[in-house]
Amino acid sequence: MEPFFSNFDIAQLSLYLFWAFFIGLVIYLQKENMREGYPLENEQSNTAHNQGMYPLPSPKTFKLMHGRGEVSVPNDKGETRKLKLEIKNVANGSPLYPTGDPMDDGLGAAAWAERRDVPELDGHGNPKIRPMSSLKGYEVSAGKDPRGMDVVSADKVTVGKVTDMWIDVPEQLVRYLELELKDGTKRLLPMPLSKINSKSVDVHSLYGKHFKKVPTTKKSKEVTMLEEEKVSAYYTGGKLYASYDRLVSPV
Amino acid sequence: MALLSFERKYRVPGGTLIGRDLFDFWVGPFYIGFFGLMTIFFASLGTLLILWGAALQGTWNPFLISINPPALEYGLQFAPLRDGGLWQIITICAHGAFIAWLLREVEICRKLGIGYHIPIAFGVAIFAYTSLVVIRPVLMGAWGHAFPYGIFSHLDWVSYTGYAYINFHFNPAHWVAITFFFTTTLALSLHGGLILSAANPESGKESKTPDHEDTYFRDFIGYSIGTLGIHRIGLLLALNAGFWSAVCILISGPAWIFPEGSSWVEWWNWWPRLTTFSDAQYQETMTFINSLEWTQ
Amino acid sequence: MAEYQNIFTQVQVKGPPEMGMDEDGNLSSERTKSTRNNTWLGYIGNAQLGPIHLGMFGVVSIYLFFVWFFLVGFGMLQQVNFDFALFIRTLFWLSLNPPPEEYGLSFPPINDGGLYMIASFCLLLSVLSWWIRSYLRAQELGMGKHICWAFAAAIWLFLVIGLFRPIAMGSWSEMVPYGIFPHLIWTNNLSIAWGNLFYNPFHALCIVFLYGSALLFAMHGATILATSRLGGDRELEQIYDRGTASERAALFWRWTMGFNASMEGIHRWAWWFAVLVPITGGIGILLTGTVVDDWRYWAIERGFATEIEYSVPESTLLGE
Repeated sequence: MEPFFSNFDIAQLSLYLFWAFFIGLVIYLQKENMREGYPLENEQSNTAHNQGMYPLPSPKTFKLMHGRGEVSVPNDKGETRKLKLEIKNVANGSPLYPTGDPMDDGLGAAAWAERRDVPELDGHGNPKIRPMSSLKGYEVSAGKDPRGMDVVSADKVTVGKVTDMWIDVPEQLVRYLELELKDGTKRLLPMPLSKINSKSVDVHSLYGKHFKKVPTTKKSKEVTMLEEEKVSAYYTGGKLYASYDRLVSPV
Repeated sequence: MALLSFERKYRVPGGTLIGRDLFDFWVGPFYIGFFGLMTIFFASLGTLLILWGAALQGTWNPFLISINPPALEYGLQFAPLRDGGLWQIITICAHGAFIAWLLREVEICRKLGIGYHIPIAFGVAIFAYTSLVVIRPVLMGAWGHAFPYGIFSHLDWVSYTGYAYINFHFNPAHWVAITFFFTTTLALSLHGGLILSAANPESGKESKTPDHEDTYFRDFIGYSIGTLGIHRIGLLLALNAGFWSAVCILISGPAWIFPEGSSWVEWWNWWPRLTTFSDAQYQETMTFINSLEWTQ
Repeated sequence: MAEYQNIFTQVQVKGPPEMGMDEDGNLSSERTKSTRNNTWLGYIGNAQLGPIHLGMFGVVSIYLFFVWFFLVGFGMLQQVNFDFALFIRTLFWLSLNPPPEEYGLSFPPINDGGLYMIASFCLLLSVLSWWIRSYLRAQELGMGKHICWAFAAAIWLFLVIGLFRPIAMGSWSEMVPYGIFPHLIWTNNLSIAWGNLFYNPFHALCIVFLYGSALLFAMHGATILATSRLGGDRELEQIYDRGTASERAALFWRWTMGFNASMEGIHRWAWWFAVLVPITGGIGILLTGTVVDDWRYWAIERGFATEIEYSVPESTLLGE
């Protein structure tokens, strides 16, 4: 096929058209990904001077089911939590230091987000995550049933026993183990942070002393998204803060 | 400097593997750490060496720059700089940079308290690279068997290496790798599409739930793997694509496995050989095969 | 003490089967009635198999697919003169072949490519029917059409190879034979005939997006698994109400590579990368032999290859 002029043929035209399309696509994709976390801020919690080279996209709105209202992103909600952090070094990029116990204050690896204090709902409008003991017709179909097993912390302390499993009902998946501590109170334990052995359940993320401070739920048979945040964040925080050697390198 | 609106509560010290808090800071959005400095060192050195190699070659056209490995005659020795030695040092820098990047990712995981899945996945990719530029050349006795660092020259290497075995499409491990690549792409488009179709419903309608996602795929193909399962399978498919790609090339070349010149096309003759019961019958079968259209 | 990595489910639970969302009440009649539980599947994902939706387009599609499948088998049996032992012995080498060049774009005799054309037509209708199914299943649930548009991108490539390019080349003989080894040989021959497809820029872009898709799914899969302890796999609700899982997922990548996605946005990156594989591939194939007859020469003319053959250490060159 004859080129249009010099060597410029349809193939080259197609390539240049593709590049033009692709550059536009990348700009579109990057803007779409700016619906969370913007406008940018600085360490002092003020709006940052440099907002980057892409403009914010115009907000889009999700209409939620079951009367949960609408959500628009991006929005300027920002962080409303008072964070117990201090700036020790004014140089940009220095870390901020927790002023108290980061696991109790929800900072660093123990940080949680301000999600809604209502349970996540399934397609029919019922709470999605429920204790197995409150459900009819559910059974363990494979693997090791941990109910009744001892729960052992990273420092090999037996902190309690598994009393129930909290199920994601529509997805038929265990999301939390419920354990009863030595003092009789109950706590939830995220399934991805439990290792079920033949006779016990290992929890590497926490030491024995941390378990009584795991956040609790308001209701005994329901957990809200905010409560889930705080519970999983607490265990996850233990991955960094449970002991000194996790936090600080040897050399 | 500019943080995401929710970032501040995560910007804490801790989790480093080396250096305590000496390198525990960010530059802009980038976390540094000891391994960040190591990456910068190796990447800069490697890049400068590539630029030097381009200068020696006499071209600045990015499509034509090519840093070539040593000639086969040098075997596994250190070659003179201008004769493949530069390639060798750049390869060492590449390993330094990639491994440092992996360990930096580990430090970031530790600070965020999340699992190490990402650096482990990256490790599989590094293995695939190392298998091509170190493991296979060592097994074949010469650095020259590795690929050149150049945009189109590395494709020439792929082409020539493939033809060294007559038709590389016939390598069964190559089939496995390709199947994993194509399946990964299929699964990625389905997963991206499913999430987007649930969150972005038909105009004016309410955004959907995981129940709808499961229902769509059960209606469509009778099975839905689920919100957790799709991520497990996606990771496993993608890692297998990389792994079997490494395998298919590692088994092509070493003298005691499948030396160059061996034909992946003829390798398949084991099946007619196995299913024929005399030499004459085998020859007859091969004659028949060669008479078919589309077998050359 | 080792940590659980969340690759395989430790304990599976089973309840009453999920029969599917049916807000208007008219979908369940079109679904099969029973489900099965497969605990092997349950170690990776959901254990439930079924129910499946049986609609006209699905049934038609499957029927036509099997017609195609058996026509291909019949064509292969014709090659071995219906000798079943020889069929088994040479299966991978057999094929139902496209018409030879001499018939151009006219319908060839049944035994000289006609059967192939009929089989291809069945396959085309089967694929299009399945595509309509992918659209209707989403429409009935009120969901977006993103999966159907992704499928359309794949169908673009399928049509380019099997319909548009043969028409542009003026001959059905350009179509791909239906056979295991023969379709690999077709692929190799295409590259040899048209000057080394590696120099086709759309072939290169296609590969970039293919490898990029593997990279992205490894990244995304690993990121979700790493944040699954915080509920990261519950992506939809994280999109509507951002939790610490999405925040940490974003920050991991921001701190690693300087920029990041959001929980919804990563799925847009993913969708586009995957969809661009067949789109660019289709463009590249469409240009091959029609507009460009030697890709390496095309590259030399435009300055990204040189006349000098790439110098390869001699012993890797075969017979040259």
